[in-house]
Amino acid sequence: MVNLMHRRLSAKLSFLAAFSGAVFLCSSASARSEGATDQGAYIAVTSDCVACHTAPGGKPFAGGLALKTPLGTMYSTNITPSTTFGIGDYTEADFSRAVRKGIRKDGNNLYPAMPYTAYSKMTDRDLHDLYVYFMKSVRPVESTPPKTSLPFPMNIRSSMMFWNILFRNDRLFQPDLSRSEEWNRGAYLVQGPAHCGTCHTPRGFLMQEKPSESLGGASLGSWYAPNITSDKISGIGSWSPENIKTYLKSGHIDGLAQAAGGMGEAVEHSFQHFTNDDLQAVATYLASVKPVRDPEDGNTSRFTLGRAISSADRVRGDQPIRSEDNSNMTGAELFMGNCASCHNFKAEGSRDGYYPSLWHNSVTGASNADNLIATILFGVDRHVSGVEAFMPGFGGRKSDAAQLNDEEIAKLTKYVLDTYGRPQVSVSGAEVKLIREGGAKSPLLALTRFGMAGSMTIITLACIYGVFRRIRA
Amino acid sequence: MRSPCTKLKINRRRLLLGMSALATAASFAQSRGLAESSGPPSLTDPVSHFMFVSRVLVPHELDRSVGHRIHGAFSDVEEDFDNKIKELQDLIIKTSPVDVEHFMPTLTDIKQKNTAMKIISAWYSGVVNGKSKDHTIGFESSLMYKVTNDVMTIPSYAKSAPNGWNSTAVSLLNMPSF
Repeated sequence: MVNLMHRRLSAKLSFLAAFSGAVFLCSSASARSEGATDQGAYIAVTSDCVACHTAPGGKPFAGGLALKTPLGTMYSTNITPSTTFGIGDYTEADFSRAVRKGIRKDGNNLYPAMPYTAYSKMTDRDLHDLYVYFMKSVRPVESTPPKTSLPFPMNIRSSMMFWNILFRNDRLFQPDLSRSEEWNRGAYLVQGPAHCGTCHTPRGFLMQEKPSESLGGASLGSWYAPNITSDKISGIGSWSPENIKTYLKSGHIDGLAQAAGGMGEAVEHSFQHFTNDDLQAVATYLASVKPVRDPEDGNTSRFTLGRAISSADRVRGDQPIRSEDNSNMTGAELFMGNCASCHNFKAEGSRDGYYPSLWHNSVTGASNADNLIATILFGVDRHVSGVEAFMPGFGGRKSDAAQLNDEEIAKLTKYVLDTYGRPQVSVSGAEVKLIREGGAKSPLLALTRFGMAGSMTIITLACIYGVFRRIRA
Repeated sequence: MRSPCTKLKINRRRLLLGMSALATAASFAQSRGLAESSGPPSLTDPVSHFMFVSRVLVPHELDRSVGHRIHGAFSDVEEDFDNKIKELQDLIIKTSPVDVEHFMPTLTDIKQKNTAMKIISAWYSGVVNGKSKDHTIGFESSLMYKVTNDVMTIPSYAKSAPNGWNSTAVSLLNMPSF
């Protein structure tokens, strides 16, 4: 069930990004008009509330965003101060209990798609400011989003009580007095409101975050949130604080990485609006996070692989590259036909850096192909500081102009990895299909049902046996 | 009928002459920075001879793999192409031209001049024209696009973001080097 949380960002639609950015600007502008809620507006931004609680084309914080998960579709709720449909009748204590402990005013449990394990670390002051912001600056919306209806037994919200007993955090952020104020601020933001671990920390069998591998990289279904620990090979230990700040502010660093998928949305809605001091604090903290090494990375960082090479002359000739009458195009032909016009035939990107190079790139140098496949499938659409970073998808959505099939994307991905990235990474059409469909399905639903059926059988047999013995006696 | 001895003598002479010519060619190429990374043209590799001639005719960085394809296309459309290359090579070795501007006037034979012009054209345009068929060699590797590569991208390649057609004008004083 907690897989819902794990896959939260992966389920967002890219065009939400554009809308939600505008939503934030509107909402923060309205917040600024009421000085008392300025700080609350900023906390809402650092907590990235808008990402889930605003549907594409919907009103700010009115909920209704469909989160497609392996367990069914979930819908975010209306968190505007509407007393009928939103949280207008929540007291501050009710609000705090929902945000920190995942319990609604009516006593029902929230699903951990709401990252309350991270928000539970937020200070009382921040929770207060956030509450004031929602109650005073957010406009009430008198509508209710579709109700979440997961299949049995996940539809029993009280079942989350057991998960909460095991994994809910009940401690506020504890500052480390041996560290600087800046470090502690960064730790607070990363562990608390910014909830970085929700995506970047790998999960255990019950989908709980593994503290021993904090920020060590995790699959989000279609996308992969990479290792952001201080490890110099697997993580971002080779990045300077300025690199980290630039990336969070813009989602783009030439020759290193670009934000897409959930991270693109996080930059758009949240990180680009961080103050410089907070960005510096996050960079300071991330530089100190315990390194986690992925053995698959060997001795090579994902940021250093590849170089400018052209296959153009190999595929040029008397016969032009055609897709309409060639069902068996090579990876190089697919690259030249679909990628090279923007990324250049040597994959060095456009001269101004708008289109990134495909070598010295976090995605092509990674030890798994998930993000490269997902980028090809779903594209990139990130709005930062009024500038759009755009790449079309190539078949992830029916509306995409170019529709590459699973085998073609596998060949294209392998070509890019072999030529510009980490050649030992394997790619198959089946893997592309999986990512196209949102990633591997969770076995938890089947296991839970099987466990419940088994328990019922044992109880029934025990009852029958008891009755039988009583009759005989 | 020649005796085996005479035949051997002539062959040895030819061999010595060839070696001498190659040594001269190598020193010429080296002195002008035109030598191939693989050294002087080999006796048996026609592509090396072609590259040697090309480097005199086209004073830019030339990709051997592209040269290989141009040579293959010329071999298809031109009769006795390797001999024409050999003639040009011999002339280069004989005249030791400083550059292509000094070499072209020495080509008094119109056929040799035409061959040289076709080779230059192929490197710049990426196309080898034949009587009945043209061969496309490359597009991105065509030298004609490199002349303006400080300002222009190759047609069909993106300059910047979608709709980003304009950008700051680049000074024309610094010509690109390629």
